Amino acid sequence: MRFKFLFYFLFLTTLASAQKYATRSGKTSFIGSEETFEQIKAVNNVSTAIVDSSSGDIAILLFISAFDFEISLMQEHFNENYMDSSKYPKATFSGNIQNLSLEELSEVEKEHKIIGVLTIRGIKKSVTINCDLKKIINGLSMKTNFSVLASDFDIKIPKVVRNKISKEINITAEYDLFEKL
Amino acid sequence: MIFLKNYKYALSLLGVLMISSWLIISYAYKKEVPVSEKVAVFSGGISEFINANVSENSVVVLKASVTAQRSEELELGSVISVQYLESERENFSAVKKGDLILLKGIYLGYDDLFEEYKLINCILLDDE
Repeated sequence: MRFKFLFYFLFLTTLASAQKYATRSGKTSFIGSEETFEQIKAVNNVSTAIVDSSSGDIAILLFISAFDFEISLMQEHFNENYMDSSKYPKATFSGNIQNLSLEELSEVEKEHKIIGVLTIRGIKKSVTINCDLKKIINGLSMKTNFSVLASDFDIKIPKVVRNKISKEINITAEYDLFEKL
Repeated sequence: MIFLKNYKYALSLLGVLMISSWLIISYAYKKEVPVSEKVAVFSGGISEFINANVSENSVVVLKASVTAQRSEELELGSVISVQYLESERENFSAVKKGDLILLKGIYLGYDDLFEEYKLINCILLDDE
């Protein structure tokens, strides 16, 4: 009886730990400019994300200052003037991937809907986004592309550059998540 | 004579314009200072680092044992995640679990999801 209990306990523990997929090196990028001479775009290659495959819950965290621009002056302005990254160092997303079933995933991308809350500069905003999910070796791959309004997160764009910076910021995320041990 | 005077005036104006444009472009496109050349605000071991309350986005130098090695990152003392520069891949590939290493990198902040401190753009230093 004891052995049976121990077996079930170990089985359930293993199952529970295998149900989480994670990454520390997710790629999140954005484009925030109109057709300008120097496009305002940046990439963050150290985004962290965890997906619980049994419930579909997803949590993403990224450090604003880890967004890498081609022009360092642009990066300085982004952190100091627009995102106030010393005050709000992180952006987070927590939500749920609707109808997630690992058994139904294959090596072909399948569209899913994610409902959740995006927090930027301490301001929470409910969002519904579409993402493509597929199975990869020892994990799953997630890709999404969506837009948010800068004004929703109180990101003030000065008049002088208003025609260069979009009101709508296009965000792309590409995460390869692997079993979290 | 007047034409020559105007010509000289136009030429010096063009010179001033060219120099100021060059200065503006140099300022706008200035290269970011590499981690190796930045001054570290902290230098020490893991426990001192945790207790030091180092501010985010600071350059730190850490001496610690490697407790895990993942595809593109290391873990120090089970509480610090280390991600290194692409140019450092070869140096870091020689590092094994259990090695005592000295590294320099940017401390991003505390990652609440993984419950660990996050260092990026790390480079290995010679421990002499």
